[in-house]
Amino acid sequence: MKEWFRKLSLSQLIAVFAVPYVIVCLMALFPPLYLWASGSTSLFLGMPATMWYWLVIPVVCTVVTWILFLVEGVRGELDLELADLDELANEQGASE
Amino acid sequence: MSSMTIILGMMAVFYACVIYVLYRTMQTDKPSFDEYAVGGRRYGAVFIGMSYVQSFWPGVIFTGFLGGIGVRFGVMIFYALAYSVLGLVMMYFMANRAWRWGQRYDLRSQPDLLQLRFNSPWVKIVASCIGLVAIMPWVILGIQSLSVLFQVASNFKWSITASLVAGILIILVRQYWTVRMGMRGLIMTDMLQGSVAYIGGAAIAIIMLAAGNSSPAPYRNLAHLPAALLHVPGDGGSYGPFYMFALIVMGVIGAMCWPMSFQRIYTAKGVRSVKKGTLWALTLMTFFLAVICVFALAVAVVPGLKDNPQFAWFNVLDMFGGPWLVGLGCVMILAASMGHVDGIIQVCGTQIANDLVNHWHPLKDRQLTVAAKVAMVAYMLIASVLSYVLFDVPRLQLLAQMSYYWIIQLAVPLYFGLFSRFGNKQGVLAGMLSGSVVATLLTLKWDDAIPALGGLTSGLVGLAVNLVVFVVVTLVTGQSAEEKARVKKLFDQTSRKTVRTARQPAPVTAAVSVAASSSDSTAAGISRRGQ
Repeated sequence: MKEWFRKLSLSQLIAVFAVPYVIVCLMALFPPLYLWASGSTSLFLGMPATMWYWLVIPVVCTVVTWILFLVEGVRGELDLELADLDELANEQGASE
Repeated sequence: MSSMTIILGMMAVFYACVIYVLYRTMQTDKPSFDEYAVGGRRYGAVFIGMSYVQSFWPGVIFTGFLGGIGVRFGVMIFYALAYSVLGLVMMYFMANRAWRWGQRYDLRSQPDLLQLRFNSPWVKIVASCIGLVAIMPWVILGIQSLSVLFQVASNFKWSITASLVAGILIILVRQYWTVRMGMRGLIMTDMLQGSVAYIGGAAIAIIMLAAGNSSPAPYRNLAHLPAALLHVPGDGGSYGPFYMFALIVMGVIGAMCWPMSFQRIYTAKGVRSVKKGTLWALTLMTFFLAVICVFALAVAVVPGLKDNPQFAWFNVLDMFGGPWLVGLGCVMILAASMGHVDGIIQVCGTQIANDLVNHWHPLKDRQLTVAAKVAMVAYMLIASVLSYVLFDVPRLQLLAQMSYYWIIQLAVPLYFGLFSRFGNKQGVLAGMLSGSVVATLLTLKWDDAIPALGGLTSGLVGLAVNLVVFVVVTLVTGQSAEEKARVKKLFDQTSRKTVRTARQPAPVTAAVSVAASSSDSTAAGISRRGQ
């Protein structure tokens, strides 16, 4: 799995993660969708469906962003700071 | 023991704990400006996450939002949850470029970043002024929510004036430490205040939801909600279909436009810390706000609360646990309000000194710190006077909403600046100014929604004007070849390609050469402070 994520190109990675983000953005921002869910009195686990609709948005956002963070970690995109770059540059200069 | 003694006593104990934390964690009386403004860029993810939440949600969440919106309008309160979370996702995507530019060019504020990106001190000055003006209503709200707190604590025996003065005094005394310590004082106390306010607040709400018959707001209330509370604005009623959209979209794009939210990026010790801090904030925000929104709906059907919805939080706590629980509820509001107001005052002091004073009168490091301290005191005094004068404004949350009209005007340069190479200083300045003027003029006529536009707000119309003007002016005035090269190099420094390549053993030297050489040559036109 890690190797699979490492091999993904940037555009492929964006495509994979864009799907859930676009869905939750549409749920929150596209009037026909949230007006469709509005007023629903059907109960699920004792709570009206319209409330579940609004609870799905933050839960999906949180889970997907945690996964994205883990994937970025696997791909080595989180830890290389400017100091690392400068250090590597110095090492290169010294070796030359 | 009277309920007044219990509640005020609990608040006093908590206040003393906050002061103790400040006293114990103060490392120096004379911090450098970098330490004062961004805490020396050395804080980890958990601190960043809690500090962000503190800077985002004041005590008014328990009064104006839970009661004023949740109890009165029902499911509409979920807009706060949606925009808070989506706004944090935007912070996650900004982290890489914003933090790396921040460290390389010693950026200390959001307007600093805009100056770097668009190569214009006037972009920084205008952006900073918009931020300082737009943020003021939140300081006022913070102080006013403290006055409500003292009314409750005194069992409504204190007058409104006396409660307001008490609220102002408690903030002024607290500010002594913020002025002395700057960002470090904020970060340290945010952890204590945030834990009490958000984790404690959610815990109480969960206990009351789960308590069954002994609770005035049990979970089963949700099965008996009147239909009127389950409709969002636009689904019937006087608002148009775009009103909910407008509220959420303003919150999402405005989230990172707030100076104090953006400032949290610069207090982190690395991109990983910013992103992980964002995730902690995202998790906490989702947990806390989801619980509070559900709880608000359960409270909405409790008889007798709709006449005074802003006091719903205190009333249900009193029904469930008497004065001790009300005292705890008051401590939570105190914690959230203090942390929020402190965050604002600190960033305002930083911006006034760094973005405005330092522009016209370049200051040394020590002088910058002094200027920031003086600016914080002045801003706090102005806010105190305004909170007294404006106390009778009937809809508190409307004031907060109006502040979004101005702050979202920063979204065009911020989002284009971080995610696109398009745009120039002429376009940014013309867009921000025209958007702000349009938003202000329309607000005089439509302070909430514009019916003819299906519920869109004046702020969004201003933003649309801002965007159009930005694009048109940029296309007309164009970018010089030199400016295009400068911006390209800025983006190359933080591109994922550069970073990923540098992680791999073989091509490391090539990537480093590109990054290092670009960082040097990019310095043309960009002042790299601290070197």
